[in-house]
Order: sequence, then C-alpha cells, then structure tokens
Amino acid sequence: MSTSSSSQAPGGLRNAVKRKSTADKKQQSQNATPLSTRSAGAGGSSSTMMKLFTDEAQGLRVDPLVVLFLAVGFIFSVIILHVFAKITGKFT
Amino acid sequence: MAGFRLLDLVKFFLPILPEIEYPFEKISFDERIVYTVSCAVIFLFGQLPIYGLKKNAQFYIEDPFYNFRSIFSMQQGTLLEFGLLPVLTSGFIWQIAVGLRLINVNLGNRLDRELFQTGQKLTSFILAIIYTVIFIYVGYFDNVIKGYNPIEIGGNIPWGSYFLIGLQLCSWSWIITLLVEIFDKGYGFGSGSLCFLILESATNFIADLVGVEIYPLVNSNKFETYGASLNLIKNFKIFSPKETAFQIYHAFTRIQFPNLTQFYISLFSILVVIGLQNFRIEVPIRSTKMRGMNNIYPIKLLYCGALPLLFAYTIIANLKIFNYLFNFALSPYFPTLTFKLYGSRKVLNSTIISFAFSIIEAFAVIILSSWFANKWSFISGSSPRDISKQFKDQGISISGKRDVSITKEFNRIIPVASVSGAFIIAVVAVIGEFFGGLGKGVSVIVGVASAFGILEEFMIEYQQAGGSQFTNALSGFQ
Amino acid sequence: MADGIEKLTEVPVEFFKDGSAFVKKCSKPDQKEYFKIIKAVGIGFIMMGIVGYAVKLIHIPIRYLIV
Repeated sequence: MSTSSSSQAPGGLRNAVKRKSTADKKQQSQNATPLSTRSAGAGGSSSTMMKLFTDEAQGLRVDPLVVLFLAVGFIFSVIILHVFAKITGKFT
Repeated sequence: MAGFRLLDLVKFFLPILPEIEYPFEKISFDERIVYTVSCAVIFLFGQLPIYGLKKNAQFYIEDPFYNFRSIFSMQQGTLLEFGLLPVLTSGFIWQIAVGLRLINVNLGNRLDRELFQTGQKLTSFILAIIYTVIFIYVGYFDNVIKGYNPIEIGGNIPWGSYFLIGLQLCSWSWIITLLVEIFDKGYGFGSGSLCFLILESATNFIADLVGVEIYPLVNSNKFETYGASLNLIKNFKIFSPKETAFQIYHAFTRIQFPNLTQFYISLFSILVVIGLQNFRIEVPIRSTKMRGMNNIYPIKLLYCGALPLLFAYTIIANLKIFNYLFNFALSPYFPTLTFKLYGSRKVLNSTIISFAFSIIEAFAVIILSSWFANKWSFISGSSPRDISKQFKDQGISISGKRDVSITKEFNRIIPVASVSGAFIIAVVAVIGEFFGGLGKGVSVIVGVASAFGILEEFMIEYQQAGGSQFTNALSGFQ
Repeated sequence: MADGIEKLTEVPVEFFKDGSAFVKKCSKPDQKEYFKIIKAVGIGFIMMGIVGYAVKLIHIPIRYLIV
C-alpha cells in the first residue's frame, strides 16, 4: 500500500498522518476478525447466495449418499404407515 | 463476554450432530448434476401427506399462514409443513449476528468457524422442534386428526397422534437441513435452500396454471381442477355467454385454489425481475500486470439478489408464527385484547384491521429488505473490501484510479446499488401482494432472482469442466 | 430533538436521490437483449416447473392409493 498521498490533505500533515494511522488501525482490526466465512477464505454466503454449511466440522461423519438413502427410507416408512393404516381400516 | 460465549454451548452437541463429509476430491460436473437432481426429487417427495391426518387435510385446516406458504415451500398437511423456514431462519440469524458483531465469533479461527456452522445446524434443528411444538400446542392439526373430534367434550387428547405427527414433521425438517448441507458442501450447484426455493416456485407456477388434480370444494359437493386456466377451459361453455362470463370471473377470484390473478401477478413479477437483473453499472478495469488488458466489471443493481426480500419475509413469517402462539396462549386471559390479527381465508381483507395490518406489513417488508441489503453488502463474502482484495490478488485495478482507492470506489457504488435494488424489488413484491398475490409473486421473484446466481455458478463450472458426458450424450441425439 | 427529526428525514431523501441517480446511470438491457433473456429464463423456468410438476403428479395416485 502506498503511504504517500499526492495532494495535501486539509488539516495539515500531522492530522493527515494521524487520521491515516487510525484508519489503518481500524482496517487492521477489521481484517483481524472477518465478518463472514467467505471473507475468512472458507467459502460461504456470497452477496446473492445463502450458504450455511461450507466447512467441515467435527461431528457424526456421514456420507451424502447415506443421507439420501435415509431420506428415501423415511419416505417409504411413511408410505408403509399409510398403507398399513388403510388396510387395517378396511378390515375393521 | 467474560469467558463465556454462545458458541461454547454448541460444543456439547458436536459429537451427536450429523455432519456430511467434505468431498475428498473435487466432484465432477456429472456427479454434481446427479446429486442436484436426486436431492431435488427427494425434496419434492416431501409432499406426502402426514400419517395420522384425514384425507385432503390441507383444505380443512384453518390456515393462518396462507400468505407466505409458497415463499418457503410450506405445504399444508404434508411433511413439508415448515418447508425451508427453519433452515433459512437459522442461517439468517447466525450470519447477521456475526456480521454485525452481536455475538463474539472469530471466523478467522478454524475451530470457531466449525462451531459457527454447527450452531446454524443446531438452531435449524431446534427451530423445527419449536415450530412443531407450537403447531401442536395451538391445535393446528386438531380439526384433521383421524379419529379425533376436538369439539366433543371429554374426548381424550390424542397424544399418540400428536407424537407421530411431531416426529414426522421434525424428522423431515432435519432431513431437509441435511439435504441443504449436501448442496452447500459442494455436491450440488449453488446454495441448497435457494435451489429448493427455485424448484418449488417453478413447480407451483406450472401447477397453479395447468394442474390437473381434481379436488373437492370445501362445504359443497362440487369438484374443481387445481390449475386455474385448466379449470376455466373445462368450464367454458360457448353457447351460454352468461355462464362463461361467470366462469371467467370465478377463475380470477376463487380462493380455495390458485386463481388467474395470482398467475398474472407472478408473470408480471418475473418480467420485472428479469429486466432489473440486467441493470448494472460497468466499472472499467485494467490489468496492472499486462498493458492494454482492459475489461469491465459489472456491478448489478440487484447486488444482493433476492436475499433481502427473503430475509424480510423470513422475519415476518416467524413473527406470525409466534403471534399465532401468543394469540392462542393469551386468549383466555385477555379475550378482548387479542383480536384476530391474521384472519382465516374467509375474512380475507374484509376488515379494516386486516387492511391496516397489510399496510404495516408492506412497509415492514420494504424497510427490512432495504436495511438488510445495506448490511449484507458489507457482511457477505462479497463486500467492497473483499472485492478489492480479490482485485489486488489478481492484479486488477479500476481504470483511472489508484490501487488504494479501489475499496473507496466500491464503497461508493455497492451499498447504493444493493439498497436501491432491494428497495425496488420489495416494492414490486408488495404491490403484487396488495393485489392478492398470496405470496406467489414473492415466491417467483425469489426464485427467478436466485436462479440467475445459480445459473452463473453452473455456467462457470460447465466451462471449467469443458462440457460433460450428459450434454455430450444429449447433443448426440440431435 | 429537531436535529434528530431532520436526520430522520434526511436519510430517506438522500437514499432516494442516490438511488434514482444510480438507476439512471445504470446500463439497461435493450429490447432485443431483454427478449433474449426472457426466452432463455422462461424456457429454463418452465422446464424446471414441468419436471417438478411431473414429480408432483406421481404423488396423486400415491395419495389416492394410500390415504
């Protein structure tokens, strides 16, 4: 970053230096804690995109296929429940 | 903040929360298509009716949430009763809270980032439970539970049915959250929640117009087709103009099923959003490494896409759900105080109070989305600072500007763009709502505007992958 | 207090000024481009809707059979 500014800032050199240093400090503190996972370099929500889970966290590791099969299994269990209720309902 | 942070609470749940594995290597383009499609199909299968309810339960439930169902793909009486609301709510809460530094998280730290992510998932799971409890406590399903008559005094409370219904709703909500995670982890395209929203709004758009299902009308023995135009065509009688005129009027005003007014509002909203999507400021850029490499960097008017609108409606939907609870919980104590804020379909916009509330709601939507757009343009991963950093890394600079002032230049443009974009889109949405869009207009706005973002990602991936076997196979047929 | 009110009105006024200036400055799509995009997006949206609705259609017999 170039530190010399070509034009004289209003308020004299000393003020300009001071202002610059506080601005730098502010920027540093902002850089220290990123405001989103994407600016921390880990992917995440962009301006038009809402992303929640982009990091790998600890936890119960599962393969995505397992989740898909789980979902299908769940659907089938609900269907079976329905069918079962219908059949028993017919007989009683 | 003396040593205690909200994130530390999440730690206790770390070992028991499921976590999708990160792909070992980059997923190929074709695999991503397969994952996207299968997730989408599974999502759509959530329209199964809940076990334990009567037939065609969706028409007999007193529905306080009719005007934002289509936005969050909440489908009445099905497993998708809450749709994407838990995921979206938790995502917005956490990301806003961190972005505005309301909670103490250092996202530069890997462990914090992981906890932050698990926190979003945990919140989504817990919200699903909370909504379920609220719905069951208030007696939302009471009318339609099989073998239970709520009016009958002394009838025993159907705890078993309550438990089964709650279990189904919660589990499906959790599965949806995991499906969203599959998308977000890079197995699918774009963001999971937005992909599902697009799919849902497109499906609804078609179903509302030409849906062929035939359902019974409530409180009568007549039947009507679900699709608005199909119903009109079916009932068209050329030889009796009076009857035809009535049918046309009916097609625009029927309330139990989608009507043509909603269709035209949706169509109008789509046209406006597509137009707005291409409003942009072109910032001339040049390469600092190579001379004569000039290009433009477009900054869109809809810088935040449809997220501001989605955020506004997420807030309003949550307020309405909690209002629904308080209305019920407080009504024995303050019978005069708790007037019905949100009436059922029958008293739709018929009273002054509901009119006043729809005006307040309209203003709330506009203000919330403008506020969100302003904040989001700084806290999302594509803030002016992030872009200028990206420029610096790639050796790009704005023509006629020094390196230092890139951030300043973007700071001048981006917030104005995102706020005005969000404002205009919110006004369009609110106008649609005002004419009786019942959330359909909002839903297609969110769908179309998000589709552009996902399409962009898709095209970039496609070009990087250099085509795919799918498209090669398809082009072979032609 | 008066200062506060002034500020309160200042923000929206400023916002409208900036916003309308921005929208005026924007490069807008011309008619040809607009129709091209509408065609592309429309086809995509309708295709997606039809696929989604096809899955929904499968539900009708299932619903009929099981409930």
